[in-house]
Amino acid sequence: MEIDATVRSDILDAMANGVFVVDVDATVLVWNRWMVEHSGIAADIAIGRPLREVFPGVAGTRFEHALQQALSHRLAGLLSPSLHAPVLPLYRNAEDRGRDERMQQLLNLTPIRLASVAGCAVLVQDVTAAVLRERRLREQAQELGRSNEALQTKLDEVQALQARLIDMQRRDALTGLYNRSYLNEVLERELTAARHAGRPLSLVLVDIDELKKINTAYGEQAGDEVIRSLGQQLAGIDLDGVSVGRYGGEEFLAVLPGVAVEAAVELAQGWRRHFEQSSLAFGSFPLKATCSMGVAGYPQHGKTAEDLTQYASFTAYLGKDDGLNRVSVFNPDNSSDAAPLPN
Amino acid sequence: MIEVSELQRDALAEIFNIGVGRAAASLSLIVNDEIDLSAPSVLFLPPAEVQRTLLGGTEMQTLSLVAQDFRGPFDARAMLLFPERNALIIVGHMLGQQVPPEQLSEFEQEAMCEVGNIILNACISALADLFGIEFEGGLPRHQSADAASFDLFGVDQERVILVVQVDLHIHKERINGHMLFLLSVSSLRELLDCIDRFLAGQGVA
Repeated sequence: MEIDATVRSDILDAMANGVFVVDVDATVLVWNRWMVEHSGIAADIAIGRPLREVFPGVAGTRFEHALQQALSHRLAGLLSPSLHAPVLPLYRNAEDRGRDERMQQLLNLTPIRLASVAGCAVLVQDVTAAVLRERRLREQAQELGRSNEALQTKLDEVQALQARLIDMQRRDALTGLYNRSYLNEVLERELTAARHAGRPLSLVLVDIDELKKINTAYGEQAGDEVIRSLGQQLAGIDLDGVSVGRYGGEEFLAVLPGVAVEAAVELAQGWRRHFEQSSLAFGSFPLKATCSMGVAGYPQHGKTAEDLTQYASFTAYLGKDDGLNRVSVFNPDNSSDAAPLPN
Repeated sequence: MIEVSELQRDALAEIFNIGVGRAAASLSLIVNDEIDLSAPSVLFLPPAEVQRTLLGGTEMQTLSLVAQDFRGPFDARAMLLFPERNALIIVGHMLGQQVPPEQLSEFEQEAMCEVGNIILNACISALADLFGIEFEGGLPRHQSADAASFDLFGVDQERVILVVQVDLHIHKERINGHMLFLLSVSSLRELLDCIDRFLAGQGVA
């Protein structure tokens, strides 16, 4: 059965896509109802006119180029909505037309033969919904990415705060050095490591001489200044693996992993001289202070953290009997008498 | 296999460079930025060889492929082939936005389809112009395929594949891809006749 021209035209009009056909000179031959509805241009106005007159905006566009290629070379073309702003002035409805918001369009240009000359059928698909959906998905993905970033930043902040809190718990407020309880933890760890590695470890207990005198003469703030100053000097010890903390009111403890007693004494002498020679100031008052030190070493003096700290502590204390401002090494012969000595 | 002389290959290379040059102009217009295209090599290979050398090297990779059929004095299925990673870079530049490194969505596939359409049409129209012949070209189709399971050439080992390397420069980035033209033996003969006539017309052969 032959399908006559009227039926063909009815079929085109029934289509839910735009269809128009141009001849080799780009003059419009077919203009279906969908095109009328969405371009606002009646079929009898469009048909018989050059497309450039019907849609003046197409001049010089990629659409026109693709159309030329279809007409001159019979090559099909495609214009995707992702690469182009909507090229044809087509609108989904009057409201969009009022806002000059063109529909997103996917254009297929198919070369056809009209009698013996070239022509081109252009199929227009409204892909506005798909494009909007795509955009929304993209925005949501970006939004999600941003919220994730914000969440990560918050998480990092909380972690940093936690780390700071933990660090604060470990430190002495006046000097900023480790406090006694954390230093004991460090000592336990270092002792275990020394035991496993078969390495020596030394403890140096530093005790400020006659701090009470300074407190009495200048006030406790002056005493604090002396403590802080010694703490600062000890914090500056440039030695691999060393840990220094404030061990009591006027006591500091240095843990020296891998350092034998003799070497620890050498180091301690250096610190003692440095402190003795440093001039402290409390306001405009120049202060002078010295310290006494006791050294005990693993493994020869003791095996446990408790023994070693006790030995270092009482060695420093005992040393003061022979004169202040000195470094003493633990002597096991004294330990039985001295062990019960009060701190 | 039919012999292709160096002279014939050089002539084809020249024509393809004219074609991709036209495509570069169209693409540059779309992105408002300079895009350079060149076709540094042209080869004729049996399908198995293409499978081994071209796809073997990109094993485990996903390929982005735009295919278009052309009919004329000789028929060919033309394909533009990029590793998907490269296609994402191209589309990302074309769309002016970062494309997520997952598979190409429908949106990006359409963009890639149009890029392929522009490049393939430009080459075919260059062939048509210089040979003085006419083709009819179908609409482009985009496809993502796994390189390992890419079996387009297994169909007919009698066919010959014209392999054109494509270098695309965009935003200081150099992106490699290939154009493949699947030719039957008779189409290859016809193509070579076209080249010979073209060379004769140039007074070369």
